[in-house]
Amino acid sequence: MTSKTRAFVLPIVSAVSTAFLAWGCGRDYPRQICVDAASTRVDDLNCTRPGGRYHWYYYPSGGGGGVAGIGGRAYGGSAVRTAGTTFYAAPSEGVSRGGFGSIGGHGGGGGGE
Amino acid sequence: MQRRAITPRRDWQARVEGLGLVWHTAGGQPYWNEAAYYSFTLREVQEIEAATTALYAMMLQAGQAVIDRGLWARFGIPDWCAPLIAAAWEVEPACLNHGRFDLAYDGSGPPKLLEFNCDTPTALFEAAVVQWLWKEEVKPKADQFNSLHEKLIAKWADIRPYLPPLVHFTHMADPAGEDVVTVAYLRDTAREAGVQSEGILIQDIGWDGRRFLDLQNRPIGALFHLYPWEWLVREDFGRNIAAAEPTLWIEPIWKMMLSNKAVLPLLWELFPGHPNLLPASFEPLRGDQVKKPVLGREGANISVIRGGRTVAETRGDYGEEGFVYQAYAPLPDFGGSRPVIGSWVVDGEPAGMGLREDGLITGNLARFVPHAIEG
Repeated sequence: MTSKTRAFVLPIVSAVSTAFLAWGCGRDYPRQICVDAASTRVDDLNCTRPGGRYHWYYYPSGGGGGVAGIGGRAYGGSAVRTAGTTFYAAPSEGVSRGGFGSIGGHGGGGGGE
Repeated sequence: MQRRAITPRRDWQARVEGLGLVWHTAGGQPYWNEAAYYSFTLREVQEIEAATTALYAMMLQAGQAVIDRGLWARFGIPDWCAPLIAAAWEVEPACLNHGRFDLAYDGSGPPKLLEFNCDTPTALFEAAVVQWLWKEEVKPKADQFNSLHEKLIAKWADIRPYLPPLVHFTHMADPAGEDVVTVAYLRDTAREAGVQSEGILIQDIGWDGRRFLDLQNRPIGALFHLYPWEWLVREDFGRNIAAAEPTLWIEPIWKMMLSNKAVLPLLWELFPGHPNLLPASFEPLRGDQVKKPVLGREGANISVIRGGRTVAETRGDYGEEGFVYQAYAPLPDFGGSRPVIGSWVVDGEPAGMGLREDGLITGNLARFVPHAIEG
């Protein structure tokens, strides 16, 4: 019916479930934004390119509505990454979002069955 | 097929939580229930496996019939989706083609199809990983119907040449963590096959007028979604699916035809009397029956009608698209615990099973019980 020796290598499950237990889903996900030396938010792409002018700025509890927009000054978070936490990119301007997820969001359950 | 009581491991919560099963308890009751297990013989498992193969073959013919006859309204599918579904059915875009047949089976007769969850099936991680590791520790000499993990990895490897360099995976921020971890598990199987992935919450997906974008405004070339098609197409961005620059949707939109209760009467019409099917109709049947919404989820809005009266029913928000009526198939009753067999396919082939037990209606508070092959 199945192979007798099986190895499960699950680093993403491990990271995500640990983050879930730490933060839950009632709160926002840990977020990160890219900032310059003056803590002004810039496009995330700047932090993915070589060079030292930009760095990530972290909101371990998601930042709520306080995540800086592009050109805004970052506050309420930290430039130090919390070890063991998975950080997600934060929304940025110029693109509409929220056009998916509304039906599931009203149901209170999940999208699987 | 027997249900056997067994002493749970002393620290079972910590063990399964350590694996990632953070939703092991729901409403104060164990969701992962290792105070019992189901014991099968090899013959019984082979019967379930053969039924799964047969049902999948019938499903393919049913899908073709939906397209040939244009049964979109019957299936509650918006007209504008029809050409997208027909095109995807023809082209067969890369996907896992995975799903879970829910079967009624007691070991004494053929397994009977209750429904096919092939769009956003869950109970996957616990079936693939958690119950296997339980078996290894508690019943090491037994076997298990379970090759899910290997088949998922193999399928990712199979489709990798057709995928962009980065595959996005989306889901809801469900409060229980089930969707979050199920998607993480699928990302791990993709990673094992060399597929790079990134997670994004469903509400974070962006639209710039011509493309779907991630949070770094990168185009989403391929998107695994644990979020059902019937919701996607009805939401604000739904219509953009048809107009957008191509995104590879995993699973594809043709799953709307088969992960739909309206396929049940169609199957009975195409294969009347098949031993793995139950009589089903869009009109009430004679005798004991179950009324199900065409587009229902997690056991909501279901009525069990026996002897002419409703003996069990669940509430919910479904039913707008109509109902189907399926002959009642009694689930085996082990002291009030009635198991439904979830028989998995990956790439259309049998890949294992997981059992959930509940009362007359299997809802979202059903308990997952591991199984072993012992005879």
